[in-house]
Amino acid sequence: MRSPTSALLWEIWRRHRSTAAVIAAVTATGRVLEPSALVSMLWMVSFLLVFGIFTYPIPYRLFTLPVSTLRLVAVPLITGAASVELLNVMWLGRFLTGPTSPWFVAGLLGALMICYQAAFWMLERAGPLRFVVLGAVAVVVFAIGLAPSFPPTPPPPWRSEPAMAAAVTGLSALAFLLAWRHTARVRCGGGPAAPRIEPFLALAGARWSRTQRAFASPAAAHFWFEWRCSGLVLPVVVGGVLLAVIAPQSWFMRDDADGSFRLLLGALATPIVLAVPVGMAFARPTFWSEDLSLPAFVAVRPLTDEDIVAAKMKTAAASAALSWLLVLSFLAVWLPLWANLDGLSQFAIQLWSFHGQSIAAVYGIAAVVVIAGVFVTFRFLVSRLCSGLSGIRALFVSSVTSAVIAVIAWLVFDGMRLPVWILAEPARMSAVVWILSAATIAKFWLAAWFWRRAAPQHVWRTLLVWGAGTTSLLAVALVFWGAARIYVALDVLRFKALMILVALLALPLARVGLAARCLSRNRHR
Amino acid sequence: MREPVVAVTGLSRAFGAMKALNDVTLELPPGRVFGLVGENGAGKSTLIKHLLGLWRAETGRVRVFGLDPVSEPIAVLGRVGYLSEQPDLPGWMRVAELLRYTQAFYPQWDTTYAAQLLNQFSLDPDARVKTLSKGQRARLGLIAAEAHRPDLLILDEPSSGLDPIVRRDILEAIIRTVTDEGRTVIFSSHLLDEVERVSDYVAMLHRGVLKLCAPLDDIKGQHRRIALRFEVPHAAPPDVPGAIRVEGSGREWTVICDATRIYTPALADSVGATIVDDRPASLDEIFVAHAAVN
Repeated sequence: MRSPTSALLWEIWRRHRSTAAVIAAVTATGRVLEPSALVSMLWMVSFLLVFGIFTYPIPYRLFTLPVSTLRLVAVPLITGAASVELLNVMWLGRFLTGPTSPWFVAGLLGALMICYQAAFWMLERAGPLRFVVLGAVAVVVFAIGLAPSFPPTPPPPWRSEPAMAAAVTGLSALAFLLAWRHTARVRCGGGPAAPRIEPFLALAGARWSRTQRAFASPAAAHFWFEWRCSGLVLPVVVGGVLLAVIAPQSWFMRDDADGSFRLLLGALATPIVLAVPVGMAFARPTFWSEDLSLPAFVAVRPLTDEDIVAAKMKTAAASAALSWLLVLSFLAVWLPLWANLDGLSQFAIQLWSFHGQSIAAVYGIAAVVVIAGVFVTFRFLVSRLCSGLSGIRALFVSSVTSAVIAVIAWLVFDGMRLPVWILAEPARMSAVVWILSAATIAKFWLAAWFWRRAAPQHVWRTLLVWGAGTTSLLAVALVFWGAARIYVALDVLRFKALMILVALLALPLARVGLAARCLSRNRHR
Repeated sequence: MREPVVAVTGLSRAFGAMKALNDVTLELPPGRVFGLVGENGAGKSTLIKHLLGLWRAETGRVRVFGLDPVSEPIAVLGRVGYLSEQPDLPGWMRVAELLRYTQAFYPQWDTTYAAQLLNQFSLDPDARVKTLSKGQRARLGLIAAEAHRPDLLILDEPSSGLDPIVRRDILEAIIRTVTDEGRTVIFSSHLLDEVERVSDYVAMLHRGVLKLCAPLDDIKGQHRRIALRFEVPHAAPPDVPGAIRVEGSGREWTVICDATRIYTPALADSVGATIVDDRPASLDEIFVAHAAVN
């Protein structure tokens, strides 16, 4: 290598060349296929992967190199922007061929990459909270991108594409300068800004630690540990999405009844949808580490494997509950203050008429839906504990990959067609009922087998959680059945059996029992 | 006779083709400091991981306090304190939080003692672990390992890369532990002078094989270092009966030998040399001699 710049570039390439190959393959596939949901998915994946390549903290170890800070900052930032532009060129012609100019889109993507990297570096000390800010950065950049297309058309000069392009250029230049300043300050061991905030943090920390008392039990101590490591991630991400995505949209849609109703459904789905990716990391022994082996710090504690798994499950339950509390708090502010409630009112009236014109039934259904939502969120957080805690990378990767493939397949093949196809033919429904019945029996049989050596308190606690969750899901299933049978001509009894079986299968029971054994394999290699 | 704290029988462990432990058998009586020595990759950490239950015995049997550490982790680990070379303490925790967290697992945790050590080591309870230096982390790990006054303190190369003051703190901790009657220490280290200072039992591992395991005094009594001077220079090491290792050049050669197998005056006559120096071998010399044999 002839220059420091080429060495820095080589390092980025060397570390991520396999990801680059995947991006190339994904893009090539997307170019070959006819436009479809799959191609949209590939397009999205390729851009996410590019952003993934440039998601890394400030490279402290490079600080000792005889390279200027400007170069250390400029190489990854410019490479990131260039990479995303290159990818955009490769996808040109497949998407975004509307009235928006390709040059404007290219500018937005480059600005987003620079702002993203700069924010990621500058907010290093914020930990997982920075993802909220990154979400906000993305929303701001996309809002700038959408501004020229808002009515009236043509937009006023200050909202025209050239004006907005100048704004994003200024924004990315500002982000670059801030990243440069921040890195220079970190490189020389801090700057004048640091001492101003540190005493407050230290004082708050001291105050907090002084008020802490001894833990009541080892289980309580380990729950605290798990909660501090991973418990706040889902609530923080959910809170971030509510603030950065749902809240602005709710304001823009304040006059749109259907849009507001869809957004309400989106807000309710947020914890469940986000629990899927968060659950993939949550299943690992250490949330923030790629290493799947149980850290010695935890492994040498006098705790049983069941105790460690129980602490993880308790953390998942608390995390799901807190996430839903945030959603409900947001709804409590949004719905009465600026939401258009016409769509929701129509839906509520329909429920009211279906259920004996009882207002209590409507509120009861709403409560059951929320409770079921908490349990489904919990389900996605803990469903991969077996593979994650086993320490077997191949098993964990295949588990995660299968989930990703399932999501892609659902999008590509329009997954909603599957239940319609099943319900359309009684014979198909009957076969599915038999399959689900067998799966339910297998589930209970396996649960009994995997839980047979566990301590009774763990078994009872898990059964209690599973029982409560399944009851709420059964209630939701029966409400859904009650509504669906009116609109859809189908075999009512089989459909009811189908809904009950789905509710019984939804929450994991055997897998949670197996998790302790998988952890045992990891802990005692 | 008191039950051994640690009883390992026929323990073997292989990683692929490499045998990390090969038929290791040892017993450790209570109330002793047990020095575990060996070069890098000798199997010291692997043996310690078996004692902690972090590795399952592939072949053989491991018992700590008469129990299997894999199947009974609470009963075993509740009586063990452990400090490793790189204590993987969570960086986000504050010092006080870490101690409070650790305290929860050990009913016999001595809060006064922990506070005393914290004060002695000048550790700020509100400091985050990630802001501590390597030495401070080692000291914090030491408090966490020692404050519940464990029956068995396991130190896996705790002094590695640390300054002399921290090393002194660690040695003092070992001495403090053994002055409480019945407590036992397993101390693995490369620093043989440290092992020699505090250990009364020594086990030497070499490529997974237990070469020596005996009281330190017995080991030192069994090995002598004899310096020989020959009339004529030797190009190759002379053939000395009973020697474990012979090194030197020309007329001057040094022999580390098993004192129970040779009679020193006869040795000089048998090889045609003069004895220049004859003294007990240091642990360092014994270690190098046994390691070099293979």
